[in-house]
Amino acid sequence: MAARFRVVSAGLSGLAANPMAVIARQGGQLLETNDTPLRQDDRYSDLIEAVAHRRDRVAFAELFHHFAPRLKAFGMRSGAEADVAEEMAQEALISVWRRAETFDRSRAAASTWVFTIARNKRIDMIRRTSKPKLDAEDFMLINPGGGSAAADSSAIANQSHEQIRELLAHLPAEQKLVLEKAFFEDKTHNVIAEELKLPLGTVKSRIRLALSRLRVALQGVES
Amino acid sequence: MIAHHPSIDMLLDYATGSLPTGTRLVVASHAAFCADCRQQISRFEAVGGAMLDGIEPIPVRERVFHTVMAAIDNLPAPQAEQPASDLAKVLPFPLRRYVDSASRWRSAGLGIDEIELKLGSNQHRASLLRIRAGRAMAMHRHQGLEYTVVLAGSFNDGGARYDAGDLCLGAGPQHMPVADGGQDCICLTVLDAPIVLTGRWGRLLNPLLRWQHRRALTAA
Repeated sequence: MAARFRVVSAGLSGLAANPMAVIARQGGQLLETNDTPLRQDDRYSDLIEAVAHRRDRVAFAELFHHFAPRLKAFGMRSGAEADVAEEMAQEALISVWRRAETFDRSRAAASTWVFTIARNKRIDMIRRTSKPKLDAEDFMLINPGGGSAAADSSAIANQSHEQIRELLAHLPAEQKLVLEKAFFEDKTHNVIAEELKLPLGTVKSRIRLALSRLRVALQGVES
Repeated sequence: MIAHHPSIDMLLDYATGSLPTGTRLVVASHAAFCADCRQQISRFEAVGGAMLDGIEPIPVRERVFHTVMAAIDNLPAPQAEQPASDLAKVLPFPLRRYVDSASRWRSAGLGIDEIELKLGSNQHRASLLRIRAGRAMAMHRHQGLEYTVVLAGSFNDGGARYDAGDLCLGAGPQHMPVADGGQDCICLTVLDAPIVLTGRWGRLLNPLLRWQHRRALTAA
């Protein structure tokens, strides 16, 4: 544990020298430039840990600039207006700050962890009630995967993350469409079938086909 | 040993966030016991993460950045965790927030006690049920679906055994779960329609159950 922390700190001192390097400003809008994809998620994991360990605002700002535009797009794909989608992105990022300690890079890639936060925010915003926030409902919390969060399992999590991205990019359009409806538009199998005017069985088999193409990569994701 | 799991479709719907509150709690409660289903959910969530990564970003207004940076400076101090009540301690984490120190078992008759959970949703009715050791729940059938997750103890239903973590799906056929494990059996039950009692005495209670269910749905 101590060794892992040292490695993380060393990685970040290099980062602090030029913290805003990845952020470009254009016309008052914030944009970010691309890192090399393979190291990307590793970097965001480092940043989340920097927030967890040191409440590092510079690291958080970089997380914001990477994730906020994606979270806004995610919200708008769910059918939200731009304003509401920005509010959702805002709430999700505040949760990233508050809950950074619960991030475990050996269990999930950074973007997967952020996805689960955004998903729960979306559920909360749809429910619009004072009922318990999903934030604290994560069953993973009481059942943390056993013991050693070894650095190499983090490498595997990130490697399979990149594999999943790569495979997703090459899915046939019809399979990609059902996955997008499921993940971005939070549609159940039944609703997707209705919308696409397809038999439920066809929707299920497209989802299964898509997921089985991802299976090899997914088997690297250990809980 | 957990033998009865949610369907793979249900796990995927959980991961994408498309399950309504009642069935989401069913999956979360099962997963609190079941490492296999947790892993499967994690795999689906990893797909969600990769898709979030690959989504075409839409620039946010700069104001949002300043709002968030100001918000993290002014977060209220985290509230001290309330000590969990004795009831909460036996519940898996996802259910703890739905009970409080005022939650009390109420007799639902026939050796069954019940605590109704306030879901804030009218799609399902969720309760904790306690079947006393050796007692049977009244024979009933369902108009809709019933999801039961065993939280403590075990029950036997028509020869199938359900232990802690197991999910029992009731639909259509009559069934009569018996708490046969020598201890009280505590379950989460989520119903999407009132149950219909089919035994001789049970039939007399049906109007009452329908009324209770309606009341529970309008109160929610």
